[in-house]
Amino acid sequence: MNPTRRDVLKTVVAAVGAAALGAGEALAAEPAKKKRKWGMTIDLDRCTACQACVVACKSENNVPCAGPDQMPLDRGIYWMDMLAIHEGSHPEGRSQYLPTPCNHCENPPCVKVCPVGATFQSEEGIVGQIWARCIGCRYCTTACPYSRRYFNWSDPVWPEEMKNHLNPDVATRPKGVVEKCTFCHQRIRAVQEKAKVEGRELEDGDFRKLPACAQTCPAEAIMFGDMNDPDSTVSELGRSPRAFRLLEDLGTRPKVVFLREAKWKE
Amino acid sequence: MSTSNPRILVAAGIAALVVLVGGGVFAYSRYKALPDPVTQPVLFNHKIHMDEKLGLTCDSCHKGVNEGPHATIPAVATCIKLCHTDPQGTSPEEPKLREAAAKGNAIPWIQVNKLPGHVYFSHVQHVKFAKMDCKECHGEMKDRTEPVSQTQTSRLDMDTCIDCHQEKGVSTDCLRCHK
Ligand code: HEC
Ligand code: HEC
Ligand code: HEC
Ligand code: HEC
Repeated sequence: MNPTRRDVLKTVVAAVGAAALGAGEALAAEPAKKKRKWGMTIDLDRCTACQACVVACKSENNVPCAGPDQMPLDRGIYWMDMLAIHEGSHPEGRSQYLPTPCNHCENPPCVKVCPVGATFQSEEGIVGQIWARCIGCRYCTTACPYSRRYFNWSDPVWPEEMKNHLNPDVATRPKGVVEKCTFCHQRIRAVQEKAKVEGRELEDGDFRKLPACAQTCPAEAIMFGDMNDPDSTVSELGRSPRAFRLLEDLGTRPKVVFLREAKWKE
Repeated sequence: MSTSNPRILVAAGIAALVVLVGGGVFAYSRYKALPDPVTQPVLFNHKIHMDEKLGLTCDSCHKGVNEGPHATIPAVATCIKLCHTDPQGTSPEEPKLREAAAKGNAIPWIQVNKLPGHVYFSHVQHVKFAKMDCKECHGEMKDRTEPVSQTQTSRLDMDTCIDCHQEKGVSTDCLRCHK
């Protein structure tokens, strides 16, 4: 049966109606707020290499202690590591230290190689890792130019004293999966939910020292925040002439910005 | 050499058996993480407490549903202070409450509705913001006379979460629900 004129008319009216409704809804909705883009700045001129951030990160994120059988094999796990670069020898020796969390690249090589979608970029730019999905192929650890990903070569172990102090907001990872820094996304989620319950807008101050490393840093060298907000502390520091990123020429576009007066020798 | 070597056949048979039994045990252990039914230290009766005379609502006791991720269960001291100083009924379960309170012990409730350790779920998002009724996920708790058992929790899987989130236009970002 051919559609009658009435049928056609009905369809057209319905379509126009739907379109009008859609437009109405779009107008009624608030002007789309720009998504957050989490980033970090690390001021090397402030950093004293005390490693408080390394310890804080380990305890916040239930990162296991590799123990005497794994450490000699270089299988320790550090979501936040302190890299040391030594030049020359005594008395002219010079050491430089670099706290290194995951760079949460905007163009992350690790995400591209994951065959199972266990690692991905979240809506807010965090490079996440769902270990329950991870098959332990370690393509990502190889793809990461910064070596910021760690494979669990053994089941996690903690000293007896620490067993009852694990953070319930972070899942522990079993043997055979890859893990990495998440910018303490559990803290971001908690503060966002809390603000929603209290009915208030989040400000830069809520994030500045949110991750465990930033919270702990006694020199206030580590700052965290929204890089899409031009007025945030991280955006401001990111515009500093002292700012640089690691291996910038790779095109990974890290969201961790380092600050240093002297030229950094890589 | 003949291909129908009986030893190979037997070996293949054993291997198949191992895979089958192993798979079965694995699947069983996954779905039987908790004994079924769970025996709670005190057999709490929801129906009695939801009697209209008392004027209680779910969030009178599970206060956390309006505040944060966990629904929470009231402390024994709260039960005693607000109601159970004197016996309220004839149930043999009730004295256990005062016993625990007198010793200053918490009642070691076993959490039945429990997601795996790598999942983050938040009550406040669903109860306060999405305005969902408890029964959409927990069934008719107000008619329950005995504690919930494991079997009812199987609905809270990732597909259920994702289907509704997609339908309602809520985020399905892995990091929203995983930790
Ligand atoms: C008088 C206080 C009280 C009221 C009112 C109450 N509950 Fe409970 N609820 C408890 C206690 C105590 C427990 C722990 C005992 C248990 O698990 O059986 C519990 C357990 C539960 C559990 C199981 C938790 C688990 O381990 O998975 C659910 C679900 C639940 N309540 C939902 C509800 C709902 C829905 C309502 C409203 C219809 C409600 N409760 C009203 C006190 C209360
Ligand atoms: C969207 C589904 C959903 C709704 C709606 C919901 N719950 Fe739950 N509830 C869950 C899930 C999932 C868990 C397991 C949480 C976990 O393991 O972290 C749970 C756990 C619980 C528990 C035990 C653990 C805890 O968090 O203390 C109680 C008690 C409970 N719910 C009560 C309630 C009450 C009361 C309401 C209504 C006001 C409610 N729930 C509404 C899904 C829901
Ligand atoms: C029947 C629908 C429904 C089901 C089932 C459901 N959710 Fe939700 N969920 C919602 C809605 C609607 C919201 C948004 C609440 C709001 O902000 O108004 C939400 C919000 C959330 C949020 C916060 C998201 C954000 O953007 O901050 C989390 C986390 C979440 N849900 C987890 C879960 C998990 C885990 C499950 C499964 C155990 C689940 N949900 C099942 C409807 C549902
Ligand atoms: C709306 C909430 C929600 C979102 C979004 C979500 N998950 Fe899940 N996921 C869950 C829940 C709840 C479970 C636990 C299901 C169960 O116990 O059966 C789960 C379980 C899983 C498991 C199974 C683990 C196992 O042991 O079987 C994997 C793998 C997983 N999620 C990966 C992902 C990935 C990858 C993403 C992002 C693409 C994602 N999830 C997004 C809620 C969610």
